Amino acid sequence: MEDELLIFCDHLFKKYPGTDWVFKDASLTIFRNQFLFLLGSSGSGKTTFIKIISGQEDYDRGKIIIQNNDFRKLKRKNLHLWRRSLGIVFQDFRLLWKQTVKENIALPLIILGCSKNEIDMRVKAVLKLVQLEDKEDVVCKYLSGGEQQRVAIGRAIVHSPVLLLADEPTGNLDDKHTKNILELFYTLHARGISILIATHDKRLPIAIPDCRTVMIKDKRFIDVIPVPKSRTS
Amino acid sequence: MLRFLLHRAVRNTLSSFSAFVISSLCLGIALFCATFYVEREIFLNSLVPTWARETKALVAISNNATPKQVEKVKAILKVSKWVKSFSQIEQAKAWDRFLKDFSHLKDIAKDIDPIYIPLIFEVTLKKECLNSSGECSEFFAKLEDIPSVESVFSPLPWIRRIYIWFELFQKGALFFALFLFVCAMVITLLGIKLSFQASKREAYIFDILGASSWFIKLPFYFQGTFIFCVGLIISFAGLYGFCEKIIDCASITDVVNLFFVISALVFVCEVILIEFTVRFLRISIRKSDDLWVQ
Ligand SMILES: Nc1ncnc2c1ncn2[C@@H]1O[C@H](COP(=O)(O)OP(=O)(O)OP(=O)(O)O)[C@@H](O)[C@H]1O
Ligand SMILES: [Mg+2]
Repeated sequence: MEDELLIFCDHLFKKYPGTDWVFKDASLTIFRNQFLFLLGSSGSGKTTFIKIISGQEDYDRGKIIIQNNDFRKLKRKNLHLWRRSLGIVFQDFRLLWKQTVKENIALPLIILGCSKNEIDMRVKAVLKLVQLEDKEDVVCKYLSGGEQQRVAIGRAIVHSPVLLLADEPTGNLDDKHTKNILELFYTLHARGISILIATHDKRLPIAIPDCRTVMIKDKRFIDVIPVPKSRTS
Repeated sequence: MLRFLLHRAVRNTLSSFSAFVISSLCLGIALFCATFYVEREIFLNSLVPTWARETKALVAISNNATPKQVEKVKAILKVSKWVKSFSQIEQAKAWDRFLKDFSHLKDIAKDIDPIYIPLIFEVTLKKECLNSSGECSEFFAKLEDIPSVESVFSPLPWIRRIYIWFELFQKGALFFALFLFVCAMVITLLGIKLSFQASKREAYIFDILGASSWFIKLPFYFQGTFIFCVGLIISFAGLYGFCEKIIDCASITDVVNLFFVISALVFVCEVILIEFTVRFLRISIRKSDDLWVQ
């Protein structure tokens, strides 16, 4: 189970129109049930990588294999199914401002077509996990930055995704909440969810035992902390 | 999920309420006019009074006509394709009728010998006579040129005029229907575009969260369906009122059959247009990080 291939990026090239390469011949293998930190300085391409994986951005050259399917083919037909198995925490949250915390968190479940009972149950559980129980009926635009971030995290995990992609999920949180969120991620990981956290905060990996850390350097991915052989490509 | 989508559709509809009202009105009137056009026979029959539907002409034979000449006129009437039937009005009967209808002329009339009253044929015209463009009137004009025929009285020119006006009216109704249909569609699509623009971020998020295209499209279909339903009710109420209260149609059920066929066609057109519009609009949000830049 642990060594099942989830995402395989092979010699990936990516550039935005009018800019230098963001990725140049970058390869990365992500296995199922990994807890992976993607480190990199600002502007190194962490967000870009998450966008590529979630099908929001195209790539120029190279190959991406997702669950044994070529990503370009997958994108043409079943992108929405792949996206349903993802939980994404955006760097800028991307919540629906005019709707309540509860409505925002319930969205993935509505899209999956869950029953009202199940939605209520799961949203309640998630609100507890991200410690927003007392804010469930507050409209999102009135929340603080940290609270919005936690709503975004709630929305990303409520449907038990296969892979959680979190872009700077602790960027707006104080130490106490950062610790809570990392613990939450760790619990989710223990329940079998693969996790990829993009961050520039080098201290985060220390808090998670047994995680893998990959750094974006010179437009490539480099493993920085040695991990058992079976987990690397 | 369906409730969620319906809720969105209602919200969209309310947010562009004036567009909703105008487009459903346009659609309603367009449906009414289109039905009026395709069911013109029924409406014509109800509009034109009975005397006009079964038009009669009078052919008076001159007094000095020989029996042979009379037979010839009879033969002409018999083979004409415009004549349904004809009968001879007896002179005595005609005289009685004249005295009854014009009793104030009794004093003048009492000296006249009924023998001088011309022989008259009452000719019942076929329906095609009214629809033919002038050929039928020509036939009667020619009939009048025969020496043995004294004169021909026919209401034909008047009725033809009614028919011509009615035909013009029908064509007007058709163009009006098409025009209003186009208006209704344009306003519907504009309303949908507005709603879409207003909820661009939502559509974007649904897309990212893995919503199927139906999930994003369905609210707009619902929005279009609301407009269609209100239009349908308006036009149906209009037809019903028109038929029952104003012109007394023979049967509303005949009208309604085609009305529903037209409505179904209109609905299909609307759905196709919405499909293309939403498809087009969705392309614009695929790559719209700009949405989040404040
Ligand atoms: N839409 C775009 N068009 C052009 N250039 C872009 C676009 N998006 C990102 N870039 C550029 O690509 C590079 C990588 O951006 P990206 O957002 O992936 O960085 P990041 O690692 O997430 O940075 P940060 O830690 O600050 O969030 C940057 O140099 C950025 O300027
Ligand atoms: Mg970033």
